[in-house]
This record gives sequence, C-alpha cells and structure tokens, in this order.
Amino acid sequence: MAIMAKFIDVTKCSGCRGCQVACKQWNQLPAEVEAFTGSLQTHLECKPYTWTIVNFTERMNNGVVEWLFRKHGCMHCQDATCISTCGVAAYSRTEFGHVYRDPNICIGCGQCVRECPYNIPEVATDAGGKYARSCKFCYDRIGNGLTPACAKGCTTGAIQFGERTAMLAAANTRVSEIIAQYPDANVYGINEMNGTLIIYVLPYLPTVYGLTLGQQNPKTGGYDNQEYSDPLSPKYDPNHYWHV
Amino acid sequence: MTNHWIDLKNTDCALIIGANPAENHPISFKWLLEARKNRGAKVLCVDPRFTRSASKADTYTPIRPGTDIAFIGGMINYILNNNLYHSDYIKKYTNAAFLINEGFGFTDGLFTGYNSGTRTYDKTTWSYQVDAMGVPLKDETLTNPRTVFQLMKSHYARYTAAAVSAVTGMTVDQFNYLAQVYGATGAYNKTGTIMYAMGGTQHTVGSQNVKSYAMLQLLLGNIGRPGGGVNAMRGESNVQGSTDFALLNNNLPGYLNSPVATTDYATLAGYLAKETPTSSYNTNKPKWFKSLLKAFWGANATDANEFAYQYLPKRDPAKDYSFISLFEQLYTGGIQGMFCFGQNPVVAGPNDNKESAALANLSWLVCVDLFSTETANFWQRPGATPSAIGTEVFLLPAAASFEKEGSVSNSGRWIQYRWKAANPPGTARSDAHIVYDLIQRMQGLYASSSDPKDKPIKELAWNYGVGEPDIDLVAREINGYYVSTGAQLPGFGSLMDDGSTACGCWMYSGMYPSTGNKTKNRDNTDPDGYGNYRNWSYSWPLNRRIIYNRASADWSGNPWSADKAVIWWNGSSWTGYDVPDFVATKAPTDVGGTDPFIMKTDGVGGLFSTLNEGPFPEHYEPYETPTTNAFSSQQLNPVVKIFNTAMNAKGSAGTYPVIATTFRYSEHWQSGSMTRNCSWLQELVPTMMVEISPTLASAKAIANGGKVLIKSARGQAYAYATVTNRIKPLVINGQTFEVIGLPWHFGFMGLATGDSANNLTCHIGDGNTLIPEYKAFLCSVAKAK
Repeated sequence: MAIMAKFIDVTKCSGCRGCQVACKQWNQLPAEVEAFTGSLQTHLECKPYTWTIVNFTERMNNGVVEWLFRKHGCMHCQDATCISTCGVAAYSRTEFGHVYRDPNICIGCGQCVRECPYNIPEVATDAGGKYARSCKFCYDRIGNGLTPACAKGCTTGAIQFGERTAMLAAANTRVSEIIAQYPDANVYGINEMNGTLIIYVLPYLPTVYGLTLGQQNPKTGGYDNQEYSDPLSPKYDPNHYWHV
Repeated sequence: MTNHWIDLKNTDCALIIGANPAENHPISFKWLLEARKNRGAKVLCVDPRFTRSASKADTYTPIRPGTDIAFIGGMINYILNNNLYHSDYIKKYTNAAFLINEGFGFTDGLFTGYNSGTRTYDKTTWSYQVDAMGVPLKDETLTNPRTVFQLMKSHYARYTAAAVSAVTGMTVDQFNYLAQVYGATGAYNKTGTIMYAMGGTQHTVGSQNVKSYAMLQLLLGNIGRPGGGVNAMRGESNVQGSTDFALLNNNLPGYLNSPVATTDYATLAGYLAKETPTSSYNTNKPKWFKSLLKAFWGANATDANEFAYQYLPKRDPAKDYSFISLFEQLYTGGIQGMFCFGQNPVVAGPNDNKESAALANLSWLVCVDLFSTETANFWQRPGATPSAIGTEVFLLPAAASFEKEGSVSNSGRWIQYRWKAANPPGTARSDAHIVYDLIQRMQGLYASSSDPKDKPIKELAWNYGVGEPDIDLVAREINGYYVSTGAQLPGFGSLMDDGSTACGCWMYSGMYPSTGNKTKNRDNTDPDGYGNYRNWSYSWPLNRRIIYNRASADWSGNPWSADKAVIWWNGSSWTGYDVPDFVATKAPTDVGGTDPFIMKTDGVGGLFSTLNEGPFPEHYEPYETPTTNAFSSQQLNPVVKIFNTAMNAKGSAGTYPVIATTFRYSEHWQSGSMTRNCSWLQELVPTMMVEISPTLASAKAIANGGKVLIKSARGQAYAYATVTNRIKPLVINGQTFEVIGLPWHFGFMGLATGDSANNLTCHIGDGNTLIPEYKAFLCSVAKAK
C-alpha cells in the first residue's frame, strides 16, 4: 500500500471545528467539557477522548489583528517517539504508514505521553481498560476506501487526504500560490520526525503555530523501531523494545 | 439570494457586511476561497467584531453597529464622484434616468410628505413625472436635475469619507480603500457580491440597509450576473422555504398579500383589483390567487362563492401581527393559546423578560420541539413562581429533519428533496403530521355544525392519506394540477384564473411536472463551469439560478463580458447557461426588451423606490445610541413604531455607555435548543461569553475568563469575558465608545446553559417589517462578584 497523508492547508481553515465534531462522531468519543479558557479554544491540548482540536492563535502583526487556526492532532511521524520508546511494543505502523497502537498490548504506562514532542497521546482508564488514546488515522475508514472523518467533515476543503507523495506535491503547489503574499509560507512535515503524515501549509513560520521547525525524534535521530522490528531491515533486533 | 451559494466562486470581490459566513454559513467560504484562488477575488469583511470570516478575508474593517447606511451611502457617493458606476447598465436597467415629481424633496432627514403625528409619510410626491399617456419621462443623459441619478447624487453628497468615518468609526483610509476596491467591480468585466444576514436586517433601518446594498449593486451593474447579486444568507436550512410559504404575518404562499378587513378587500374582485398591477409579470396575480384558493378549498371553491375567498381570515388593518406586536398584546392579555413550532421566544425573542412574563397570560401553550425548551419551561424559569402561573403547557416531541421526508429550500432558492434517514424516536412526529392530525380532528369536531363560520374548516381540502401525510401528494399540490384531469401543471405559465387549475404556491409551480418531481434531480455535472448545476434539484422560479439574468447581457443582448455570460440573444430567442428570467422570445429591440426586472411595473431596478422611510436610504441612529445623528436632526428612523410600554424601558448613554451587538457561533444554532443539548457542541462552546476589548477590560478590572455582569434598561446577563483585540473601541463623532459582542444562544435548559443576550434587547423594530433591533443597543459592563 502507498503511504497516505493528510494535507492541511491552514490558509483555508475557517476554524469552524467541524473536524473536531466529525472525529468525535465517527469514533463515538464522549465530550470532555473543560473549564472556560477565555478563548474559543476550549481544549488546549488533545485529551484522551479529544483526538483532534483546532488551535486558535490571536496575535497582532504590524498593528493588524490576526486570528490563526491550525487543526492539531497526531502527526503520524515516520520516526515516531511513541513507537521507538514504547516499552511493550504496543505501537506499530500500518500498511498506510500511520502509527497504530494495539490497545490489547498497551498497559497505559504513559511513556508515549511523556515522549511525544507534539503532546498527543493521553492515558485514560475506562470500561475498555487503561491505555493511551490518540488519533487512529481513521484506520477503519481508510481501510474501507473512505477518507478520514475530519477530511470528510471539512467545510472548506482545508483537509485533503491522499497518497503522501501527491499531498506533498499539492502542498508545494499551494505554497507557490501564496508565497508572494506570505514570504514565510512553508510546508511543514516533509522532514520533521523523518516525515509526518500530516502535511501542513503554513503562511507563517511554524513557531507561530506552536510547531518546531525541523523537529526530530531525540531518541533515534532519524529512525524508529519500525526498522528494528522489520526482519528485512539491517537493524533488525527482536530485543530492541526492551533496551530503549 | 438573487444568485446562489456556488455562484460565489464567480465573484471578483465579496463584500461581507452584517454577516459572518465563515461561522454561520461555512460552505460559502469553500466557494469564496475558490474565487480567491482561481480569480484573484478579494474578500472584504465589514463587522463590529473581527470574526472567523474576518480572519479569512483580505481586509477587515470595523463598523459601529447600526451604521450600514452611512457606510454604503458613502460608497455610493464615492462611486458617483469617481465615475465607477456601470453607466450603460444604470441608464436602461435602473430608474436612474427617470424624472421625479417636482414636488419631491428632502430637508434635514425628512422627505416630503411627513406627518409627525402619525409617524408616516404621504408618498404622493415620491413618484415619476409622466407624459399625457402616463408613461414616465426619462433623460438618458442623466443630466436633468430631476432625474433619479441627480437626486441620488445630491442626496449622498453629504456622505463624504470624513462623515462616514465620524459616524461608523472606520478610518477615512479604511473607507476609501473599501470604496475603491469594491467600486472597481463597476467595470464591465467584473462583478462583486454582497453577502448579508441578520447583522444587516435586525435594525430599525433594516429594510433600508438592504435597499442600500441593492442600490450599490445596481449602480455597479452587479445584479443578474455571475458572481454578483444581493445575497441574503438565511439562518436556517429552510427559512427560505418557510418564507416562500407564508411564514410572514401578512402573507399567503408565494408572497401574495393576505386580505385585510377593509371595504377594498370585501370581495374577491376587490382584492384582485387592489393587488394586481397594470403592468409587469404580476398582472398574472389573479391566476395565482384563484389557483391557491382552489388548492385550499378544492371543489368547494367555485366561481359562485368567489372561489371561497370569504373563507380566508382577514387582518385587522389597525393591528400589527409581527412578533413584537403579538408579544405586546400577549403581555396585556387577550390571547388565549399559542403554538410554538421549533420556536423558543424565551431565548430568541427581542425582550426575553417581557416575553417570559407575557407567556403567563396564556391559558395554554403547545411547544413542538426536539428537546424541552426554555419556552416550554418558562413557568419554572429562574426567578419565576410556578404556583402563580396558570398556563397549561403541552410539549409534543417532534421529528428531526432527517427523520422525515420532504424538500428544503436553501438560500439560493434551490428546492432540494431530502429523504428520510431514520425513524423518529418514540412518539415523535413530523410537524406536518401534527398539523395534519390537528386539522383532521378539528374537521371532525365541526362536521355536524351548520354555522357558516365553520365552513372554512369543514370545507378545507385536506386529504393527504392516513396517518403521516403523504408528502408526495403535498408536493404535487404545491406544483399545481389541472382540476379536470388531475394532471400536473408544467409550470406557473399554465395557471388559469377561471378555477381550472389548483396550485399551492405559484412560484414553485414547475418543480413537479407530469414527468416527475424535479427537486429529486441529482445530476452533479456542470457543463458550463459556472456552477449552476441546472439538473441538481430545482430552483424557483422555473429553475432560474440567477434571477434578473436579462441584466447579464447588454442592451443588444450580448454578455457584458465573455467570462460573465449567463444568457444572450441569438437572433430569435434568449439562450445560454441558465433559464432566461425573461420572455424567451422577446427581442432586445421589442417594447420592454431592455427591462430586466420583470416583477416591477416599470421593469427596471429601483434606485428610487418607496419603502416607508423614503425613496433613498438615509442614516438614522439606532433606537439606543450614545451619540447624535451627524446627518440630520432626525435622531431615529421617523416611521418606526415606538412601544412606550411596560418592561420596555429605553436606556441612555449616561447609565449604559457601551454599544452592544449580538451574534452566533458556528458551534451553536439559534436559541441553542438543539445544539446546547448535544454534548459534542457543548464542549466546544460550553457557556455564555462576552467579547470585550482590552481597554474595557482594564477599565473595569475584568480578567480574561472572568465573570461579567452586563445590564441594559430591560434586563441583565452574566457572561464570562473573552478579552480580545478582535473587538475594539471606536471613535464616533469625536468621542470614544466601547463595543461588546454577545452570543444569543444561551438559556437555562439543556447541557450548555447561560443567560440569553436577548434579556438585554428591546421591543423596537424596523419601519417596514418590524424585525427587531437585536443588533444595536446600549448596556453597562461590570465585573461580577
């Protein structure tokens, strides 16, 4: 299977949060009502049952107010800290390239929570057990030829879904369209974490959106344990998980 | 909408005013962003608050609530002074060249004919000069000082950039930029669209606000063309359909006026004589009206009994039946019972405390809704004494939109069929079923009556099957049929005034011809690329997607520009990418061949037209304002009705110095009776908030997220503060005023609760429609303990 990706063009995101509701609906996640933050952004981070949020950033830019929106959620890193640091090998990578966690293996130790540079997984205990939760890349949808719920629910077409190579190309094209207006316009996710399956087009530098340019997995320096677990890989090591 | 949602992609410039489409009509932004990407379109957002729409716009400009006419009047002045108008368009397609009665004039905020005692105008002088045959006199050079063009020019000469800035609070530079950019759509090969909603209409000058948008669009040649139009974005999925079907208190289906109890309307002949003009397509009204009566009373409507005309209830001419007036009357007593279908006046009414108090005068109240609303629970609202309230309340569970079958008419007039996705839970029923059953039972109760006043109910044609009404039968009747054969009519052109046709809503005729129900059409191909999708659903009238589209072509019938083509004259008929909104065989050289506005007696766009306040929109201050009118000594719209009644006090800036406006979030809908009961939406906007500026927050020692008490002369509301640079104080006539924004979604029922912003607003309405002035009022803001 081809590696798939979501291309999120924040210049098209109107912050309606349809993606957030679509995610809850498809995955049948309960609401997590938070204390009022003084902003429309009710959830400051992803939560055990809130796998995607929209970050609202208000700032003054040369005297002009700006209100920036970025859908935030699991980046599905190609060198993922959750995979490389999980003590029980609950994480693996699917045929689509995304990070998959087996709740039957996960013990809810919180190692992935501590290590994720994007603050994504959260551990919760409920009737299903104690384990970490985060975006599943709608494995149950894309495996059946559907687009992820967030992309399906997006009102403006800001979230596109397709093969990663095509999404990268679309992102690069989009940057070329807006570069005159936004000289800092960039594609985020090409090389970060050895490549992510969330490809952003950002009109301003990643830091404006709370992202670190060039973010890498500090534990592996460019690879994750997928290579250790792949018997065909030269780095194959059946005992790897227990040594990190 | 004169145009439709997808047509937004054809625009070169969108002026968003009195609306927040990114939040309240999110799909519109899909098309606007496409216009920007593919055409380099500009998106201009003018709003008291920097909204999510503003965040996606090219330019955001603040405006004080209630000053649209000052701004648009300034635009008109700028466009006239800089020759940006579409001169060929206005010469023939508007009444710019028409000469106006010599007696007409305007002095200090008043047009000729004003009676301050009755607060009304005698409109006699607001008329055209005519020749001996009654034909209006014109000067197509537009130089005669009595032309509409010259009168308009002198009227708006006072609306200079400096005056606009002083009144609206936008800077002169901001104003000039908007006027220049939007004015550029007057070029023949450009179009601009105006997108508005309740921020435009919910004012004492709401109708004139919309009139000013229409004038601007006519001047720039933007009506009847792709990417143009005056586009009202409706706040509910089927509000277009409900107004088409007589939601308004003075209407019958198809915007036919309901009769009044005066001698003029005593007979059917009198009604038709009064309502039917001598020219325009409206000369067909007798066909529409008689066919409607045939649909209502079937075989019981005959020539001999005036087609059952006397069965129609007649309005008392001394009374007003709009929302405010109904609740004023309810408050003083005299109304026994009330049905509320999907209505929640305790949250959504313009003066909620008064609405709540008024409901206690009802003997009975029936609420038909998905959830138990604030209205259904008004008797146990916070502060109420249930034992003192005698109203018997019935709550009927309703089916949701996806639990019933039927059509929904969107803002673009597309009548789209919707199939049922799931059965309603429990004993919930569709509204149609509830009404159907109710009338059937009433007919049963009156069956043995010989009292003539019961005949309208006894003889009503009310046969749509057993149980849930058969929506297909309803749809067939809406389209209309030949009485003799029952065959479906091909369209409203076939309606007759002799009782041989029946039709439930003339404008919809054509949606369900004998070949089938076209609202079910689902062909998503768009061969012309304009997004008209002519075989997807059906739009009224007669599947025309852009109305007044004759105006898309020049005088001789050729498109004004190649990439803005809609219809054109091919030598023998009109053809093109849309159904002509014109007689298909009427040549440009024929009499009336350059009159695109076929519903108007003069056939042209009305730059000069007679709303109650006058032929040109003039700025008046909102009912509650902290400043004086800079344009005239007329502070308030001179024709609005003032309710000097209990629980409706007027506040002044001394006590209530802050300008307030209300709005909606994308996460909640209307009074919140659905969305505040959905936990996934509750978590997104869990509680009542107020947007306030950092300067106001600092002056009142309010922290971001802190609790605030907002008071008006009518009531109060608690809210949590969102302190933000997205809302700013404005300098008005030299003085600085704070502006705040309040969502009106909240109430005391459901999961997400809070005070309604409409506790603060007032029973004061527009001079033509009485739509309440929700969008501009005065309040005080303080840190809550």
